[in-house]
Amino acid sequence: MTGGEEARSAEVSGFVAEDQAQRHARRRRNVALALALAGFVVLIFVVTLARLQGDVLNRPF
Amino acid sequence: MTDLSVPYDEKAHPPQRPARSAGAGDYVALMKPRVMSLVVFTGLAGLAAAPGGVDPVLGAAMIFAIACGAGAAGALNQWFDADIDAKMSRTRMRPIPAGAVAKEEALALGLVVSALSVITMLLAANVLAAALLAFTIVFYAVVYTMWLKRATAQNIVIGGLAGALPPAIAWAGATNSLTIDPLILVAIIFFWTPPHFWALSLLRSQDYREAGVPMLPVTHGAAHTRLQILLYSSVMVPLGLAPALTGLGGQIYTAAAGFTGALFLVLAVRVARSRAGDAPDPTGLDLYAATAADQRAARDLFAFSILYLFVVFAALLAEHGLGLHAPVPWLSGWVGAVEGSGA
Repeated sequence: MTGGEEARSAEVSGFVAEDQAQRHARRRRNVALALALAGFVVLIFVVTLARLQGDVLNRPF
Repeated sequence: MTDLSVPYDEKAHPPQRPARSAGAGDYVALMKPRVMSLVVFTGLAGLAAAPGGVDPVLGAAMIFAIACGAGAAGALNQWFDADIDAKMSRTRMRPIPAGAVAKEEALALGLVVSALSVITMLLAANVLAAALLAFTIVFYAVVYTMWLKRATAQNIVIGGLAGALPPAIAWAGATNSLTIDPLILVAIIFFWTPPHFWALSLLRSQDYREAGVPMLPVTHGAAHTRLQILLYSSVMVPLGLAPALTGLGGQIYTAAAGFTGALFLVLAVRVARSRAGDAPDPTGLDLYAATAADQRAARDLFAFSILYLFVVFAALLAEHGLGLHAPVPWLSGWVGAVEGSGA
């Protein structure tokens, strides 16, 4: 289905269709959000290591 | 499910496309990066000046949390103030009035990042620093943005506390305590804020008037604002030298704060003696109308105020971060002693 057909089909069924630029922008936003979330996980991991320091390995295995 | 799959009643709500698609830059702009850079810088100085030292990883996490907290507060501010921003030429191109970001998105971003920043501060530092950060965000977003900004000409005076707290948050993060030293740093920024913003508002009073924001030049006139600028500057400049009395500021700091403080006062006096903010006379016949030179006096003070704050905190950062701190012999110790202040 072409972009024009998609738009017409969405219009008929009562949905707002994205154009190509909006779709790309949404994908970029999603990637940025995923990177931010991954960054936050890494930050918490690094902060935990720094808080525990050497004690992080001082545990029974 | 995305919002695209939600059916709508076309007659009641005709489909509306955003004016443009939001990019990463719009979300960065939502978090007011210039304000973020200021709080990062003053927070870094507070962290470096705090006695005892701090793990560099934890210190970086604390500064990151402060930056994110400031950014989140900025997003909440833009969410609530979208109507005002759309009316003012300085803010009309911000992401929400420009149609790039929906208000709800800004609210969600602000709330989520606020929570994450406080959690990060709690994990990296302590309850005191996290509580101070949470207080700062709430104070800026609720007390200043939702209440004071539209209610009183003292909006930026009281609201300025939020922008002044980062050095104390960082200090509390490093030491789990608050002494007179971080409070002096807070006071310096607190008294710096009114001359800084009022110098700008003298140049933008028409904008504020049209947007219905009760800035001092709008409610009390330009002459009263120029006097208040001078009064606050007269309090701020001596306060800028107070770290020399406690021993927090050494010789470099004292020289930098003394020299730039004197220049600050000269520029504030120049503004007080000018007609900056008065209506210009289009005919050129009114001898008492504001001229370009008058407006330049306010612009110079606004620009120099940024340089002043940068120099003062850079001096503190250099002394404590690079080990250049040497107390001023005849001044240091007048107001308490700084226990092991990294000197």
